[in-house]
Amino acid sequence: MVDQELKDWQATWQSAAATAKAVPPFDIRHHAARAGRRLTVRYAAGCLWAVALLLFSAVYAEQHPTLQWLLWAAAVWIATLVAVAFMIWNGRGLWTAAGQSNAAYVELSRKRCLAELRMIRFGYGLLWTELAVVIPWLLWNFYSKWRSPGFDPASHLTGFGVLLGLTVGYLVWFTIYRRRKLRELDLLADFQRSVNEDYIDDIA
Amino acid sequence: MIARQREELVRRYESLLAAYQPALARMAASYEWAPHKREDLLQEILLAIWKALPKFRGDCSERTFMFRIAQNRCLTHIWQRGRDAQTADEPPDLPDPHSNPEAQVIALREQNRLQDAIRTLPIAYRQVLTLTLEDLSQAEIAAVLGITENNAAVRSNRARNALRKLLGGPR
Repeated sequence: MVDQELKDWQATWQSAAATAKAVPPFDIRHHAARAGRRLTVRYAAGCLWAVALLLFSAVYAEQHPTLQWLLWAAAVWIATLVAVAFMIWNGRGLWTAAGQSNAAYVELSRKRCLAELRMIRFGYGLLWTELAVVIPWLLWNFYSKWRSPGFDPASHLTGFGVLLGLTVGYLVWFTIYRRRKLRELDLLADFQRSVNEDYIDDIA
Repeated sequence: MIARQREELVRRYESLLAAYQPALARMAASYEWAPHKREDLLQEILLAIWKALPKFRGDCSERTFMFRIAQNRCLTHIWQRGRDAQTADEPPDLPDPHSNPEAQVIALREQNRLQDAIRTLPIAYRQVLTLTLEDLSQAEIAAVLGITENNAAVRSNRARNALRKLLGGPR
């Protein structure tokens, strides 16, 4: 009698969740915590870099108080302050999850990915703007000294080389980083789909 | 070499899931009333298994290994929640087994009734009973829970009595 009772319970119990689906092993909380640490480091580094740029341009303009360097310092200040303002605006809502569920962590990670993609788009914009200012300035500088007796072509070519190197470096980095973030978004979407499926509701 | 090891690990993980995921989902359901939290708990169990799998050296059966991790994860889940699962959320009222005899023949209702009853049991009983219902032997239950076989048998007996009472006596 009792064994039959246990068998009945076992049959009832085991008939539930027969349609359970595989879930990919993905530690969303660990992923979110790690991304949070990286975000903090990136924001701290961004702030330090901004302070360094502002100080350096101010000191340099003070030591070389010509119109050219004053304009350059003003351009650096404007670009830096705009970038910091964008960074702060872009970072809203990226620091803590709205809840403790996996869904909340997935949403936080998704928001962070979208914010980083926005940051990359902003980076492209800032890069093209800076090039639009710096290239004419370097060319003007080059031609204005072309016929002067102390003309040093090596230093000008170095300037162009550094500009080209930095531009290519930024473009490669933006492309790689953008692809990585898009892949991460796909992974998060897969994970979200897998946890949203009602594979366990069947047994509720 | 590392890629091959990972492939092997993924294969083992998938074969374990194919065999045991329904049982793990049932176990998660016996510790959580809210469906979305059950999903989270199941995810945590699967993740814990994934992390522990490389260290599994076969010193117990795969089944014991899986259920031991799942039980530990469920207990951690309850401790993290900061309250006993018995009082968690809003436990639904158990239907009176004598008031609607026709409904009891519907399998789904039976499942729900059994699940709901198990969720209201004390944790020690729930642990041993969910493993019994998964057809584990007393020796396996003892190995999963880290208790003696004798203790497992006593708990199992008491758990069954408690469940019988909740379900309305012997049918």
